[in-house]
Formats: sequence, structure tokens, C-alpha cells
Amino acid sequence: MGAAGSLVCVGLGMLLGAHISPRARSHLEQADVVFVLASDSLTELWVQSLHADVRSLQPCYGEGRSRHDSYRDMVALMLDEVRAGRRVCGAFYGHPGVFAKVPHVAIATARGEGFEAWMEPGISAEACLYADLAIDPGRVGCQHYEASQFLLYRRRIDPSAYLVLWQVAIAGDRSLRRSATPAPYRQLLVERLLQDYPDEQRAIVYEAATLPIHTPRCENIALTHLPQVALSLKSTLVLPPSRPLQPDSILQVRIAELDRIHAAVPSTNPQGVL
Amino acid sequence: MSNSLQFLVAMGSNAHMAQLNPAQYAAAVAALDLDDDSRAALLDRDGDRLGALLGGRQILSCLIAPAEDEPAREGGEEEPEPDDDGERNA
Repeated sequence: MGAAGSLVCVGLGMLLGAHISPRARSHLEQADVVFVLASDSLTELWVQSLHADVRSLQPCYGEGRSRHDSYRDMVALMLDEVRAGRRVCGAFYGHPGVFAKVPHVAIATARGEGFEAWMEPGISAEACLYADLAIDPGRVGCQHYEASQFLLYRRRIDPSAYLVLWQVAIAGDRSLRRSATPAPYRQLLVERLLQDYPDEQRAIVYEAATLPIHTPRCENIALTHLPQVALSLKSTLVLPPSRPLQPDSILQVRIAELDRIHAAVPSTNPQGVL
Repeated sequence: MSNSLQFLVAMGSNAHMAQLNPAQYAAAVAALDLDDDSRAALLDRDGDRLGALLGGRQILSCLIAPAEDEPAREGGEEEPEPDDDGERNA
């Protein structure tokens, strides 16, 4: 019997040299073949230096080509090697499972065919965003949406929490063939956001740094100026809360009643109380 | 690995190197064994130019998160849903 193939998808993190975990690097170095999707050409070159057989997934993209076709090809390339009995490592920028369809589909496909397949987390652009913008998502909450999906489907926005819209440069694109949508699409996004936010709402255009010679982009803008702002595929739009947390007086009364019934007592559990 | 790429990786992984002031950075780049074009790209902090000099691939896209699922193709197989049970299928 030949060796059973396997698939592990790992994250490269965002910043070259800084973010790859020891275990992710070990998976990469010990694989039979590595597929890489990096957001920076220098990062791809670096991954190529770590293994003799590194295959870029960039050729799956094409000018005017639907990215649905690209994603299908990426999965097929990795699964072909898994089926051939090889230990495959898919190395993706950031976290391989955050705003990343291809690794999830590849792993599900491999598992469905009986192969061992799993994902190792990485440092995502989201994680970098929290550090670079000094945001704690736990303080007042943080909502994340893909920008086009936010336009195409009804979402309930809580303006007392942060709102983060990813892939904002292609907001409104249903073709998956564009690298940017024209200003009127972003104007539509602004109009949608102004349903929940005041006219004077500020926003931040954020881009994580991918090279240590760069600094992150943290550009504070008026939300209404979004159609005129230069965006790239790496751009993310962050809206800070526009109002404080709104107390839920009904539930607060009910919690107070529960507190009276279940008054806290000193714990005799030597393990402590969680 | 090229000297310039090694330098960038070291900057990324070394806390001290990540905090170099402009003069220190310029001195560190000057001390590297590099061709003039690579040195200029590093001094200008131009990652795109350096990538091109090193023969890096053009990054056409890095998007792998569609807003919607692909419309079902006639006669085509459906994509498997990602597992929710967290099992590795070992």
C-alpha cells in the first residue's frame, strides 16, 4: 500500500519573519509539497527558500477570471497531491481560516475522502488590526463582515460596537473578476452605513504591514469621503462606535433578581471557582 | 536566500532590529553585501521594487473570501461544507 496523503493548512501570519509559528514552520518544512498563497512577493520568495517543492497558487488567478474558478483550481491542485499519497502543506497568509474559503474547502474535501486533514491557526490581519489600532474587541464588541456581503444581505448593525468591513475595495462586486469597484459602489456603501451611523461618523482605512520595512496604514477619514479614498485589496474599513452601550433595563432587573436568589458564597472548593 | 531577504526576515523576527531608527537602519543596510539596486530599494523601503529585483512573482490577488457561494453549476458537484465537528478524521 502507498503512503496515505494528508493535508495541513497553516498560517504564515502577516509580517514577514515575525508571525509564522514554530509548528506552522515545522509543518511546512516537513511536508512533501507546499502550496503557498502569500500577500507579498517577498514572503512567497521566503517560503520558497524553506522547502524544495513550493508551488505558488498565484497562477490560479487571472485577469478577468472569476475567482470562483481560481478557488476551485487551488483546491484541486492541493487535493491531487493528497490523493497521490503526499503530505501536503497549504501555507496561506495571515490565518488560513479567517476570510479564507480555499483552506476550509480543501480540508473538508480531503476529510470527505478519508484523508487526515486539519488547520493550524495563524496571526490574521484581524489580530494585527487590534494591535495596530489599539482596539480590544472584548471591550464593547466587534462586528466583522465581508464588505460585499454586507451590501448584498441584510445585517443588523449595533453602532455601540466596532464594525469592521473586509475587502472594502471590491465592495459590491458580484462578478469576482474585479480588483476594485468604482466610486459609486462605495457611495452605496456609505449610504447603507449612514442608515445606522451619523453623518459625521469617522472611519479608519486599515492595512496590515506585510514587510518589516513598512508601517501599517491607519488612515482616519470622514466616512462620507470613502468614495474618494484610494483603496487596495488589502484595505479594511473600521468604524468606531458612534454611541455608548445601551443598557438593557429589563434584563438588568432580572439579573438583579437572580443575584438575590443565588447570592455568591465563599468557595470551599480547593480548585477555586471559575 | 538573498542577503536582502535574509535581512528583512531578521528585521521581522528580531525586536531590536525592528526598532532601528532611520540612521541605524541606513547603516545596517549599508553594511550588507548587496548590489546597488537592492540596496537602493531597501533604503527606499520599496518592497515591490525589491521583490521584482529578486525575481519575485507578481501578486495578482490574495483574496480567497467570496461574498457569496458560487452559483450551482449545471451537472457540477457541490463543494463539501466545512466540518463543524472539529474532527481531524485521523
